[in-house]
Amino acid sequence: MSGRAMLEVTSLAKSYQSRNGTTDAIADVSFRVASGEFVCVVGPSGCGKTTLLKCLAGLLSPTAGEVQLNGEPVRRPPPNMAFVFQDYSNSMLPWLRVENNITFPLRHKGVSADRRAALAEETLRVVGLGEFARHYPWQLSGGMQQRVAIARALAYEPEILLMDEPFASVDAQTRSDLEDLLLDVWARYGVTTVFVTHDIDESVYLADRVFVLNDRPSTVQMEVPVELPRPRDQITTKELTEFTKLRTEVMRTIKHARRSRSDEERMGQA
Amino acid sequence: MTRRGLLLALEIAVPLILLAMYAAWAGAKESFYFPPLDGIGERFVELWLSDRFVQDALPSLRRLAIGYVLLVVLGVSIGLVLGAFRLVQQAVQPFAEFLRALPAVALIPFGMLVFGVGDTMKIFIIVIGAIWPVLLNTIDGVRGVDPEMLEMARAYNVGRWGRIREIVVPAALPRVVTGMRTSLSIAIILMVVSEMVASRNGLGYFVLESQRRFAISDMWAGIVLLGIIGYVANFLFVRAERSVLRWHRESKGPAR
Repeated sequence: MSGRAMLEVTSLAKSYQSRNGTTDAIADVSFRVASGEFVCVVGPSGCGKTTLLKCLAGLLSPTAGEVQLNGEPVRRPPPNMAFVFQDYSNSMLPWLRVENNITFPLRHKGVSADRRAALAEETLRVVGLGEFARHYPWQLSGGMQQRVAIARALAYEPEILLMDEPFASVDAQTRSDLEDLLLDVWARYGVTTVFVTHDIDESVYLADRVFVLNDRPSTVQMEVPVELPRPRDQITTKELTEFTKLRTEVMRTIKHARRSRSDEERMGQA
Repeated sequence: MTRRGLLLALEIAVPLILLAMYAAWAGAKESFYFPPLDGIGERFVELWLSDRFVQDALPSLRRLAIGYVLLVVLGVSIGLVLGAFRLVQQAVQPFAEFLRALPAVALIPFGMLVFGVGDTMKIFIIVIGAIWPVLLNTIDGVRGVDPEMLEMARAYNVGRWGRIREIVVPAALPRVVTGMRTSLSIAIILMVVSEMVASRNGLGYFVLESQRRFAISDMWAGIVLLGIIGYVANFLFVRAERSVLRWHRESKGPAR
């Protein structure tokens, strides 16, 4: 881990009260993310990844433990943090043009009109949608809408970027394009990134470090440092033996976590 | 001819044909109840291009306009509050359901008692009777706002007021507008009824009064004017709706 710790998660736990009683989503999660680092959180579906990310974002308050950003406890969404949601269609405002979707958070942040326009223009160009500023989101494909969401996050000029399975609902080709776009943007802006996914290949391909969560209630099952060379490439990086080794390692951990869990359940029933 | 052109031609031709048929039928029949078309037309022009317009049509339109604006403002504001705060909504729901189920015209005697037979009573009846579609649709609209949109705004530090103004209101707008349109037709009905029951002027009064004077052509001229008012109001409404809610129509359309 290089650089100072920007984000520090200490013994975070989260349970929900629902009609069926209490659900424990996160049991005990601790980790640190250094400034400028790209971290992936990977785990089986429904393991509480999104809950974890929303706790980091200050959208949910943890039941126990603490999240600190630059040494300050996070109690509500911090102004230097941006969030990219999984569901692009519902995180875009259909009555606003693409450029206004990007500047919407900026207006509330108190950014001047000139600066807002400049940021929208720049970030749209960076995500390759320069000529779509005057379109409406619903005129764009899913992959393009998610690019707009990335542009919106970048225009917010965050120090830290949280992404919740942002590429889960686009097709495979678009997905690898978006992964490369994200790596470019990350390198260019040097923004600390926490990226949640259930896709093991994606996590290894993108990250400096991968945290493997186990089934809910989640704990960090394993931390995998990824020392693959950058810039990464969909073909040459994925051909490396090191890549294969890492993804096998992560996959085995997840499988093991699931198996030990179902063993426990069987024991419980017996 | 394009399909669009054909449809437009039909839209214009069918009413004209119906009018011509009425003219032929009523002209030959010389019925007391169905006066000839040219007679109605004549009275229509004489009445509504003269003082009678100021005397009867304008008061009606004024009541309608004031009542409608009032009910939209009230309905949307109350609806926003009720939609946003579940507890308040739960508390007032039975009372609101009761008021809604009550035929507004049943309140006319009460209105006369409290407000007299002037404009206030009629506006009261229009508001209390026609507010419901706006109110209930606003509540539904607010409820239906996508939680993800609100969460996105929260993640970007947009305050509560900003979220209401810039997400809840525009997202609920299509429903609100649907309610406004229904309310408009109810408001017109209530305007006419309240003027028939207790009034010294207005189109409702005029229609009833003409019938009592056996001025059947006048009665028809009044009815036709009411029809035109309803038609034009709805037409303007649809026009405005189309431009304001372009995003809504198209985002749900095949373009996606």
